[in-house]
Amino acid sequence: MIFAVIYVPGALSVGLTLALLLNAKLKGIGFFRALFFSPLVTSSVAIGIVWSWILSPRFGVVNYMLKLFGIEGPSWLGDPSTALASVATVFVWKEAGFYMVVYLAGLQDIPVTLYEAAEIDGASRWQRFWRITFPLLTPTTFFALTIAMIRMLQHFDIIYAMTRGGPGMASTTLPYAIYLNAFVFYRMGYASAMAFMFMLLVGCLTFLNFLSKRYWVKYQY
Amino acid sequence: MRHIFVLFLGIVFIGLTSLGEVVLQYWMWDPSIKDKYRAALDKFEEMHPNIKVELTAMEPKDYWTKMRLLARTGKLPDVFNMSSGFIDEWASKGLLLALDRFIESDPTFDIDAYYKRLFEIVRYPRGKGPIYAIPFAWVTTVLFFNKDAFDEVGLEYPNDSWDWCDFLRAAIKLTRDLDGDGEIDQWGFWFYGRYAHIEPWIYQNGGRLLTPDRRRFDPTPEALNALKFLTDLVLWYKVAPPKKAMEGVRQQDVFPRGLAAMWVDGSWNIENTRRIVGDSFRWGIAKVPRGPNWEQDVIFAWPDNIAISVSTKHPEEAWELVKFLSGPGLTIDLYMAGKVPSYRPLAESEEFLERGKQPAEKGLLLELGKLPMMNSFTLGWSEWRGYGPAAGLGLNGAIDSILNGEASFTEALEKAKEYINEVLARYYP
Repeated sequence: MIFAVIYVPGALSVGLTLALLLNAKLKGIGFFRALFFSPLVTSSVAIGIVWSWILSPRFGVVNYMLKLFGIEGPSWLGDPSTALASVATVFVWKEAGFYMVVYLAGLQDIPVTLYEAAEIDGASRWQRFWRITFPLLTPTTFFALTIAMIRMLQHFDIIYAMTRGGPGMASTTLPYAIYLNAFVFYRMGYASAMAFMFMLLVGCLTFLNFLSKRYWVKYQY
Repeated sequence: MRHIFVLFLGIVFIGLTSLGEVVLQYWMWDPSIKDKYRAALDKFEEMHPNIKVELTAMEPKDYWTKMRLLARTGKLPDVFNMSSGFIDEWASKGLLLALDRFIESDPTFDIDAYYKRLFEIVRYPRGKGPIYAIPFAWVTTVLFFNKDAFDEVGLEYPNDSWDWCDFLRAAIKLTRDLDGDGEIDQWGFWFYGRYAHIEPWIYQNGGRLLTPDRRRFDPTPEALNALKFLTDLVLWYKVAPPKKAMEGVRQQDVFPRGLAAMWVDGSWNIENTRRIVGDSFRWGIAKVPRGPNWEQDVIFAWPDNIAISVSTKHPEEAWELVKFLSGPGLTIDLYMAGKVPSYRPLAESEEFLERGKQPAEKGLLLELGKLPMMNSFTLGWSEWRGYGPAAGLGLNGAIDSILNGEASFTEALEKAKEYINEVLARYYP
C-alpha cells in the first residue's frame, strides 16, 4: 500500500515534471532525455546495489549530506519505518524516465496554436499549464496511470536487490511474498493462489480505471 | 571390396562399443570451476572407457529451482550435488538412491578414509537411516580475528580454551574510535541473526534450538543464554554494531574491511577475506569461544554431498562416478579455500594447508573435523530460520529486530517461536 501511494503519484508527477522541462527546443536536449531515461534500462540489481550504498547509514552519500546540515540520518533500508518508502522512492527514480517519454509524446501532440491564442488572450504560464496542457494531457495521463497501476505491483526485482523483504517483514510486498512461497519455500499451490488473487487485483484496478475514464479524460481539443 | 569390408568392420566395432557405452548426466553448482571439473571427468572417462559423463554447472541460486522442476517431472540427472539442508526433504520424497548396498559391497570404497562423522548427516532419518549421499567437502564455523588489531591493544590471540569472558574482555578493548571523531571505527565483533553467526555460540554452550526429534523449535536455556549474551554485545556492552548500522556493506565484507576485529562465520569465507584483506592486515582463525555451560567442544558443521537419482538407469556406473567425485578423483584446486575435502588423504595433504597464505592456522579446520558436528537443518529450514531471500523472517528476523531495538528479547523470541512452530507443524504434522 505504502509502495503504491508513493510510486503511482511519484512516478507520474516526476515523469510529467521531467517531460515539461525537457520539452524545450534546446541544443543537446536529446542527451538529457537519454540521461533521464537511462535508469529504466539499467538492471534493477545494479540499481539496487548502488542505491543500497548511497542509502547506507555510515558510508552513504545521503546521510553524509544530511550530516553536513547537522542531521543524523536514519538507516534508510535497515529501519522498518523507512525501508519500504526508500525502496519505493528508488523505484520512482528508476521508472520516471518511462513516464517522461510518454508525457513528452503527449506534449508534442498539443497544437501550438492553442498556446499562441492563450498568449494573445494574456494567459500566464501557470494558466496555460492548468487550462491547456493539463486537460489535453489527460489521455496520456490515463495511459500512464493504467501502466503505473500495473507496474506498482511488479517491483519484485528491486525489493530482492535492496532489502530482500526485510527488515523483518517491513518490505515484504505481495509480489515478493509470491516469489518466496513459490521459489524459496516451494509452496507452489499457495503461491499460485496468491498469484491468482494478484491477477484479479490488477484486473479490478485496471477495470476501475477504465470506468472512471469518462469523468476525467478529455479527448476533444 | 577390401575397403568395404574394412568399413563394415569399423561400423560394427563402433556400433558394438557405443552399445556398451553409458552416458551419465552430472550436475553441479559451481560454474567457476567447471573447466577444472571437466578435466577431472576426462580422467574418469579414461579410467572407465565405457562411461561418458555430461557435465552441467549452474549458479547455486538457479540450481535448486531447476533441480526441483526436474524432480517434479522425473527427469533428474543421474548424479548431482546435494546440499545437506535438503537431504531430509529429498530422501523423504524418495528422490535419492540409498547407497548402503554399494558402500558395503564395494571393496574399493573405504569409508574410514573420510571424516566419518559427516556420514551421520547424510542419513535419513538423521543418524540412523540409510546413507543417501556421499560427502565430498565440509565446512564449519570459526572465529576470524584481526591479528594487527589485537597487537595494537596488546591482547593475546584467542586460544582453544577461550571462554565468553575472555572474548568479551577482548571485544571491549578492540572497540575503538580510531580518528577521534566520537564514532566507533573498529567494532570488537560483528554479527546479526544469520545462522552461521548465531548457532556456533549455542552449540559451544551445550544448547540446541530444536527438540531432540528435530520436529519443533524449543530452544534450551543454554541456547537462550547464548542468544542473550550475543544480543547484549550490541545492546548492553556496545562492542558490536546493530545490523542496521552496517546496511549497505555486504555482511562478509565487514571483517575484511577492518570495520570489526572479530567475526564468527563459515570457513568458506576464508576465500573472500583473503581477497579483500590482501596484505593490509594480518588475520587468523580460532575455535568459537566456549560458553559457561560448555561441556565439550562441538562444531556447527555440515557437508556438501553428491547423490544418485533414484530414477537413474545406470546405478552401478553412477556409483563409480560418485566414488570418484567424492574425493579420490579430485585435487585441492577444486576446493574453494575454507571448504575441506571430506576425503582425508586430500584434506590432510600439504597442499591443503596453503603455507605462506593467510590464515596461518588453516590446519585448525582439520582438527575441528574430528569433533562432534551439530546443525539445525530440517524440512522448511530456510523458511523458519530466515535465510537468503527470506532473511527477514523467522529466527533471523527476530534476532535482528532485537539488535535494532525494535522488539524486546522475550517478545521477539516468543513471536518467533510461534511462527517457527507453525512452519514446522506444516512439515512435520
